[in-house]
Amino acid sequence: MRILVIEDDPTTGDYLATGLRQEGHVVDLVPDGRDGLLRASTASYDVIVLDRMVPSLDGLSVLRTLRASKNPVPVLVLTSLDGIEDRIEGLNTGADDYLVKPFAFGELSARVAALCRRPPPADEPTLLRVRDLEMNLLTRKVRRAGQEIDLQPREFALLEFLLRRKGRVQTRTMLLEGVWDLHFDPMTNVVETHISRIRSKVEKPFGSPLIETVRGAGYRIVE
Amino acid sequence: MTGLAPRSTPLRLALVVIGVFVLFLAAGLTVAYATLRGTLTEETAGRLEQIVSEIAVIPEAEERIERVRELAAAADPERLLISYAAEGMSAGNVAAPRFDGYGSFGGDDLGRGGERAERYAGWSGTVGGGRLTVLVGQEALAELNAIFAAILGLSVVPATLLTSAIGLVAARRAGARVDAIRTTLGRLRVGDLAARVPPGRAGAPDLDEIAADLDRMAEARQAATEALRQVSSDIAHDLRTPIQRVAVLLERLSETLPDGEAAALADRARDATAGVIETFRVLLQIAQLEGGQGRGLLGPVDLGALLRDITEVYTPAAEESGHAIDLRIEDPVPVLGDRTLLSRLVANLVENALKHTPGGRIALALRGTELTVRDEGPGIPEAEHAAVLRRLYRRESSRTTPGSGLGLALVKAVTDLHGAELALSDAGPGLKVTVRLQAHAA
Repeated sequence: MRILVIEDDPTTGDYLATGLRQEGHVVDLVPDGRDGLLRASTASYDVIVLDRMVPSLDGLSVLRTLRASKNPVPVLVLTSLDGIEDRIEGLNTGADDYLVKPFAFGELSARVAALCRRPPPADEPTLLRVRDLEMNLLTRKVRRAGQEIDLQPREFALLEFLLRRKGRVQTRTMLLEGVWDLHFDPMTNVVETHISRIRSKVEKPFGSPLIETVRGAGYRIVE
Repeated sequence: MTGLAPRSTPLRLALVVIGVFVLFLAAGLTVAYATLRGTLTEETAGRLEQIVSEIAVIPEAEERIERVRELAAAADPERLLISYAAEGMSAGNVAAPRFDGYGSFGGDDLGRGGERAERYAGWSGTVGGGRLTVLVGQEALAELNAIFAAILGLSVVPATLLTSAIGLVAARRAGARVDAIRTTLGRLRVGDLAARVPPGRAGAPDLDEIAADLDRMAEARQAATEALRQVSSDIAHDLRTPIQRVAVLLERLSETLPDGEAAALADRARDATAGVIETFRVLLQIAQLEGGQGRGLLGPVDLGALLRDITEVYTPAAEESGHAIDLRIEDPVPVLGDRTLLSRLVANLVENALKHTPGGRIALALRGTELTVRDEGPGIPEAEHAAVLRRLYRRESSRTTPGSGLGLALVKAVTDLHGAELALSDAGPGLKVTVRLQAHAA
């Protein structure tokens, strides 16, 4: 993936660029808004990571100009501020996601990956399959190794969320946002207990793991 | 009494002024009337005495009769009625009623015989062996009554009504102005620093000055808060970035170090930094909320649905720690709010209960727009209720449990931004937190 990072702080910028490159992305790092806008308008990127407060042209102006010129590139806004106005203003201007500083790199990388692979508006699948697990979205039934598993509606939703994004790490806050539409970072074990309940139903009886815990980041389901 | 007195000062003052005005007028008129009436009565009595003594000094009965006849002939029956009877003879212009001493009679009761005054004052008694009756018309008194009735009817009553009307209208107008000032103060109190007193009609320069002073004060405060907000967002940018840098470096350090003591230390340093960052983040958020930013962006929130989501999210974790979350929703009404902030508020209250109670039931309830969270823990002594809402306040007993001392302070900041009421109370045993939100006007 080709990613443009517009960030004025050299350490954060360097860290983001290095981290994203280690994950196999091609990264361009630009320290100010005007240059960032120029890059974004002339080259094609899969994702832009944009700091809200950058010199010469602030982040939201960059975003506004991009959207005014009908540029649909997914944009993740980094903000030091976490007020209602900042959040709503950012999303209204056309940001696809936002992250409040400071953040863990795992969180950023998971969100960038989610934006890169925005599901194409193709046909809705009716069947999700990973290894010997099968989820039927029409009948709302889950089977593993041919055996039916009884899940609560939210357990179903949580498992579906992970299955639809298989291979990609989903952080605790991403799961809360995606499944419950709740935007906050709860006590450490809140999401963990939900995952362990699902595990007790889809892993324990079958003696083989399905949901992988990624230390310091979140969870993912792999083939 | 106090129950009847209006709360508005201008209205109360107007009523007092009207009352005093009516009282003085009534007192003045009463005194004038009494004095005039007294004078007239004395005059009548003098006149009676004069006539009686004039007759009494005449020695012969025949002469007395003659004199009475003369007087009766010359008298205007509206002013004087007189009769005298002695030794089988009599004279006079009236068939006098029989009475002794002083008396008072209506004109109609005194038989016919010419014009009659409305009222007469009279004296009757024995003079020189005969009976003399003298009645003096009290036309003057009737006139006095008529004049006072006219004063009352044509000037006092209309004047009182007019004064009352003017007073009440002025009072209402001043009252409306006072109300406008009070509403503005209320909005300022809950942090709406953009509140200003709307311009009113002319005619109350003192209130207008107060309103202008209030506006100036609000403007100064708004400017100061804006400056503070600017400073805090500058801090956010200037101080957070270095903290982020430290966090980044520590994360890299713990990744590159081989497993061992050094790596463990790096991990601990990273976790400690994460704690600092979290405290810093919440402090900044509280400061930002206190600035009142985003109040205009509040919209309808289905608090019932939000509570169901949060209950669902926390239930497994709560069960693991020996708690049970119990949710009750009655007559939910859409509230005015921001879903993200309200979810943080509820989550903070639930986490607070989970953290500070050893186990038991956590009761979440929504009735209308009133949200309560109740636990069965040791509770908080009433003396500390105000203190626990302050940032970084940590109770002696909770110094050993993890936490930043910011949870309830954030709850307070969120309720303030929502113009909501927050109350802590003793649930005996346990702590009960009540949040009264505003309904969203459809």
